[in-house]
Parts: sequence; structure tokens; C-alpha cells
Amino acid sequence: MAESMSDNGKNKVEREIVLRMTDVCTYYGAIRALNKINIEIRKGEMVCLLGGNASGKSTTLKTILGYAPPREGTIEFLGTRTEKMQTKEIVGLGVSLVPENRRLFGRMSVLENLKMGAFLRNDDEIEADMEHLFTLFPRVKERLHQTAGTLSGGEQQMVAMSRALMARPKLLLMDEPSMGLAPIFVQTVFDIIQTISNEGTTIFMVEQNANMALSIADKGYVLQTGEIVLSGSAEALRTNPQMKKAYLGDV
Amino acid sequence: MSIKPGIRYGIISFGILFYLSILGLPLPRTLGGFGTLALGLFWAVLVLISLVTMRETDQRRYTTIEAVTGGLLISAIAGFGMALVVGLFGRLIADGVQVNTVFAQVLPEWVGTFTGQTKQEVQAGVSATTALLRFALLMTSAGFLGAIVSRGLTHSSRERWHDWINSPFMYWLVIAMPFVFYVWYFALARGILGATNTSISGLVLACLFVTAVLVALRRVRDKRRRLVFGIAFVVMLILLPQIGDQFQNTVLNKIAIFSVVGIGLNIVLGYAGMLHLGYIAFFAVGAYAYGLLASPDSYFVINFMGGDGITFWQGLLVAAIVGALMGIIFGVPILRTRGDYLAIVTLGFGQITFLLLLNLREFTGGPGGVLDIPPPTLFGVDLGSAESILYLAMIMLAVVAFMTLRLNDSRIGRSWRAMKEDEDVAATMGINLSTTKLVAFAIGAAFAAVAGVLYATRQVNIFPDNFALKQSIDILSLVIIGGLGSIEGVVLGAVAFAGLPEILREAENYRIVAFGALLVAMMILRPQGLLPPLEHEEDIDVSDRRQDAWLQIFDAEEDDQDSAETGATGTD
Ligand SMILES: Nc1ncnc2c1ncn2[C@@H]1O[C@H](COP(=O)(O)OP(=O)(O)OP(=O)(O)O)[C@@H](O)[C@H]1O
Ligand SMILES: [Mg+2]
Repeated sequence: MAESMSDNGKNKVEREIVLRMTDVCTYYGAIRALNKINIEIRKGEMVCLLGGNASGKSTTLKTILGYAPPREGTIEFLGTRTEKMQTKEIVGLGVSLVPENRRLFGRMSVLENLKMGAFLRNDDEIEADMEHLFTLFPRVKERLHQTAGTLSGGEQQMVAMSRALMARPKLLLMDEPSMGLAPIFVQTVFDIIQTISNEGTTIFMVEQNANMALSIADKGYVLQTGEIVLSGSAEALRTNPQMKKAYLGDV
Repeated sequence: MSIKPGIRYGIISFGILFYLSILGLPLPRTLGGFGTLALGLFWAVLVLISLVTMRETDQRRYTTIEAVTGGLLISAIAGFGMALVVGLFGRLIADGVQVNTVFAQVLPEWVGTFTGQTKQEVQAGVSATTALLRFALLMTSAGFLGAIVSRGLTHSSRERWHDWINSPFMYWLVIAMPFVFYVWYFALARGILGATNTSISGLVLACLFVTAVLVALRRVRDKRRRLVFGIAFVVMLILLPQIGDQFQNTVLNKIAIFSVVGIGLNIVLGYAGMLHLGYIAFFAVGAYAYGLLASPDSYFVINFMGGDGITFWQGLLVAAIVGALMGIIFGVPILRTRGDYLAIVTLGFGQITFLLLLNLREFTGGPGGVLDIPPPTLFGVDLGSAESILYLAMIMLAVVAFMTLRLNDSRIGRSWRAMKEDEDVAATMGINLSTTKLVAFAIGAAFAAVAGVLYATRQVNIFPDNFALKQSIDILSLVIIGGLGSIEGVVLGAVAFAGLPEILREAENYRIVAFGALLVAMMILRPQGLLPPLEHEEDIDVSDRRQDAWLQIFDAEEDDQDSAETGATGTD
């Protein structure tokens, strides 16, 4: 695991930029939730966004996806300006989300949830991709015909991740994948995320669990009341004395 | 102990029975010789339900002794109460008092159903005491029967109850029911049971048959058997209009037409999750489109079409197109509205349509309606009879149901359901919310409009009143009562809303009250509707559920988070 990470780290510097947010400000009415955010994610990287409650992490993802469009600043996804686009168009470009709290389609079967994930695809590799996901998440296969809402929390997390991956995203956004999971299972989830990353998916992950996130990420940003207060490589952040303070500041 | 609840439920059962019989429980009185037996069975069911409810409230298992004590107690109390009431009424009738001026349903035949006497015997007051003794005996056996059956049900855990429901006996019973009702209906209609005046009771049996078919089809999940029984039911349905008289066929075709409308609304509400209160407008548009383009008296036919109206078949096409367009036109302004506002705005649309029909006298005939709408014809054969309309309606229902099933399992169907569950997440799957909603409106409206054409030709004359708010609410209720999102549910809802009022016609004055009581009871006992969509998990064996320690740990935490999750992501 450690080798593959440093490997990736070396190669990724040269790679093309998948997402670039420049001076992005997002407002909810009069409340400014994001203030001059600058984020850069390169192909194949795993980047994590850390921060306390209400620091604006979820808002950043919503801004990228166009649910909470920015009032100022620009967002570029693979060379396309997306800050004025609608959610469905941005999703069409290849961004997919594992939402906070999973938010599966609870009355649909697991299979239907996966099919929803592949909603915009009409190639004939959907089946094959599904089979591949089953190797990552054997439990999803076991539960394929169960009503998604009746799954346990951990199972729902796996389905939510599978659903997002079914879109073959060029950028996978994950909002607190470890939330509400038992400690042992957090490790499992992070291992799987690591695997997905190693397979080449670019990942932007929001996490509260800073240590865990930084242990598998290449790069990190720390958000505090809507502003980025720290950023850098995962190693640098892990060893940064300010980091702990900034992170704990809002908890 | 089962004594206290037994007394309580005995009194409740008496209340229910008294209420229903005063309303004119039509079943016993008209079932030709089976009245008393039917009453006994009904009684047994009442006892059964009481006992099961008792078990649920007591949260524990009853011993056989307790169950029988409870059952007999319920039966005795309710039976004693009824015997008093019936005896009193019997006495009064024998004395020549016109009881039915106050209680319209209490006729000599009514008393006879309970006491097993003929009309003449009741009037003569013959041996009422013996008769009531017989009645008491029947009730006691019914109570005993109920208790014994309930003993089978009153296991300590839900799983056992589940096992019982899933037992082969219940399975075959459910499958047998359609055949039983069908044969019964046939025998009754052909006079084999010797009963006269079988219109209403026949209708009851026809409705029960339809209901039983719906329930049986849900129960049979094995593909091969489904096919076999499916074919059997289809054949029976094809022959159904041949059995019934004109009255029964008229009601049945209304049920089928309203099922089609309900299925359309079900797409909008059940699948796409949009509460549309003006949905009747689309039904009206279909009916009027055909009426105005086909009736020889219509303004359009006289002035623009040289007196030659369109045919029924052209009418279907026109209505489908006009309906879909209307759906889209009405849909655009409400794309951005959700929930309560959507309901109010659509309510307004329904009212506007109604007022237009009423006030554009010159075109629509105003309150005078559209008259003489021609019947469908095929190769010169007139298809205007109740029977032919029933066939047309069944074909339409089959086509619409088939299309809906296919749609539901398609991309668009999944996007409707996804949108209904969570618009924001649906958008992140790449669904175009506006288009998806408009497609739902267009399809739902087209279904209603097509049904409207058939309705217009069935009615011959249509008036704005046929499409007033009340009908809109009826259709909404039938979809909700039946079970949002399920086609079987909608058809059952149509049976309840189009069939039951005809059955209860005898109890005209109490109809609304009875109906209201039914609705309230439904909402409390079965808020998901009578036949809600089947859950996927039924496919999964319980033994299949492995659970690790960690899964158990956070299952509990999960609930808290789910409830806290809402509100975090509003878009507008
Ligand atoms: N739709 C909204 N309308 C108004 N304010 C909002 C909205 N969504 C979020 N906010 C506010 O914006 C701020 C940032 O919220 P956000 O959801 O991004 O926090 P977060 O960093 O994801 O927090 P957490 O770790 O608790 O999920 C919060 O103060 C929140 O109350
Ligand atoms: Mg958040």
C-alpha cells in the first residue's frame, strides 16, 4: 500500500489538471459559505478536504456539482468552464458523487441503484463494470435484489460508492465516506478507496477523519469557516503542527 | 387473561355489526340462500380479527383455552347484543310497526337473515325465540371457528405469523379464491342457486373475483405457475362479460375505465411523486375531444366538419395527442414547484378546465353538455353495449397496464422513481428533472384522455359535472387507497371507488358515512394502501441475511443519521 502511494505521487505531478477552482465564493443567500477557494486536482490523484463541522466541505462539493453555484470565481473541469452549468451537465462531463449520508434510492433495489449510477451511459460495458465492482464489494452482489433502504449502514455505503463508480467518473467526489461506520469498517472502506484510486480514478474526498484520510491521500486542503487555511502534500500536512490545531479548532 | 379484552372486543364487534347491518349489509340479504351462512362466516372473521388484534396489543401468545374463551366471549357478547336488536325489530315488525321508515334497511328479510326465517314468518312473528336460538348457535360456532383459526395465527412472533401466511395452505387458498368467486358468480347469474334479483350480489361476486385475481397474481411468484394461472385468469376475464347482466357490465366497465385513469395518475403521483389535484382535467379533455369532434350536435362537427364526426378510433388517437400536449402545457409552469404549492396550482388547473367547460357554452355546450356521442363501431358493428364497452375497457386497461409495467422497469421509469425519492441526488445521476417530469405528465395525461374517450362513449351524454373536483378527489383517493405505485393497487382502488358505491347503492343515505369510515380505517390500518408495490426484499430468503459484528454495531447509529440528513441540501 505504501509503495503504490509514493509511486503515484511521483507520476502525478506532470499529469493534466482534472479540476481547478479559482477564487470560488459560494453564498447561501447572504451567508458566505465559501471564500476564495483555490483547489487543484490532477489526474489520478487522491485529494482530501478536511475541516470541522460547518466549515464548508459539503458546500465545496455542491459547488463543484452546480447544486450551489458559485457567485464568484471560476471552476474548470478538464478544460471546460463549469461554474455556470447545471448539475446534469456537469455530471454529464464525468463528475460523480457519493453523497453525505449515502442517500441511496431507498425504495429501489440495489441493482436499480447501480443502474441509476450508470444512467448516462449506454455503452455495453456496464455489465462488465458491475462485475468488476462486485469483486471490490462482494456484499453488494449478495444484496443485489434487496430494497436499498433496508440495507445496513455499511452496506449502504458500499452501494453508494458502487453507484457513483457505475458512472465511470473522471472525478469521484466523496462526502465523508467513513461517517457513521464502526471503526473496524472504516479501515475496510479506506482500503477500498485506496484500491479504487490505484485503479486510476481521480478522487476528491471530504473527511473528518483526518489521520485516516491523510494516510491514503496524495494531497490535502484544510477548510475553516469557508476558507482554505492549509494545503499541501499529505506527508507535509500530517507533520504540520498547525494542522492539528486548525483541524481541531472547529470541532 | 383474555376475558377483559374479550369483553371489550365483543362490544366493539357488536358495534361494527350493528353499524353495518343498519347500513344494510347487502351481502347476506341477497346471496340467495347463503345469507345466513355468509353472516356466520363474516362473524367468524370478525372474531378472528378481534383475537388477532388482541394478541397484537397484548404482545404475547394465547393458549388454546384463552383463544377459545376470548372467541366465545366476543361472539356471545356481540351475538347477545345483535339478538336483542334483531329480536326487538322482529317483534316490532310482527306488531305491524313500519320500522323501515326510520331504519330504511330493517325489513322483514333483514330480520330473516339473522333468524333464518322467511319474510312471512317474520311478519307473522312465528317462533322468533327458536329462530334466535338457532342464530345464537350459529354465532357460537362462528366464534369457536374464529377462535380456532386465530389460534393458528396467535403465535408469539411475527415470524410465525409470516410462516402461516406463507404456508402452502394459504397459498393455494389464495389461488383458489378467484375460481370460487367466478363459479359462484356464474351459478348465481345463471339462476342455479335459485336466487332472484341477483344484480347486486352478482356484482359483489364479480368485484370479489377481480380482487381475488389481483391478490392471487401477487402471490404466485413462480414464473411457470404465474403463466399458467395468468392464462386461466385471462380466459376467465374474457368470458366475464358474458356472465353478467347489463348492470354488472356497466359497473365493471366503469371500474376498468377508472383503472386506466388511475394508472395514469399513478405514473404522475406514484412513480414521479407529483401530487396532481387537477388530474381529472385530462380525463375531461379526452372525453370532450371525442365528444366535440364526434357528436352530430357539436359546434365543431356542424361548422367545420360538414356534419361528419370522427370515429371512436380516431378519437382515441386525437385524445392521446391532445392529452399529452395538455399534460406538457400544464406541466411547464409547475416544473419548479414542489409539494404543497404543486398541489394547489394543479388544483387550480382542474378548476379552470371545469369552468371553461361550463362557460364556453358556444363550443362545449356549457352545463347542457355534449349529447349523443356516437358508440364505437368496428366494420359497421355497433360496439355501444355495456358488454362491448367492457371488452374495450379491458383491452385498454391491459394495454395501459402493460405499457406502464414496461415503463416502470425502463430508464425513464427508474428516473421517475429516483426523482420521487430524492430530486437532488437524482440530478447528480445526470437526470434531466424537467424532461423527466414532463414525460410523466404527458404519459399520465394521455392515459387519462384515452380513458376519457371511452367514458364519453359509455355515457353517451357528458356534462361538466362528470369532471368536477369531486371526481378528481375520487381518482386521487382510489390511487392512494389502492396502493401508490402499484397497478394491482390501482385496479383494486377502482373496484372500491367505482364498484363499492354501486354495491352500497341500497344504502344510499349511509353511503358517504360508510365510505368515510372505510377511508379513515384504511388510513389508520394500512397507510401504504391495500396492495402497495411489492418489496424487493421478498425475493430474499431470511437465511440469506448474514450479519457481521460490525454491521450490528452501526445499524443503530444509522437511523439517527438518516433522520438528521434532510435539509442539508436544498437547491432552490
Ligand atoms: N442550503 C443551505 N442554506 C443555507 N445555509 C446552508 C445551506 N447549506 C449549508 N449551509 C450552511 O453553510 C455552512 C457550511 O455547510 P456545509 O454543509 O458545507 O458544512 P460541512 O463542512 O460539510 O459540515 P459537516 O462536517 O458538518 O458536514 C454551514 O454553516 C451551513 O449551515
Ligand atoms: Mg458536510
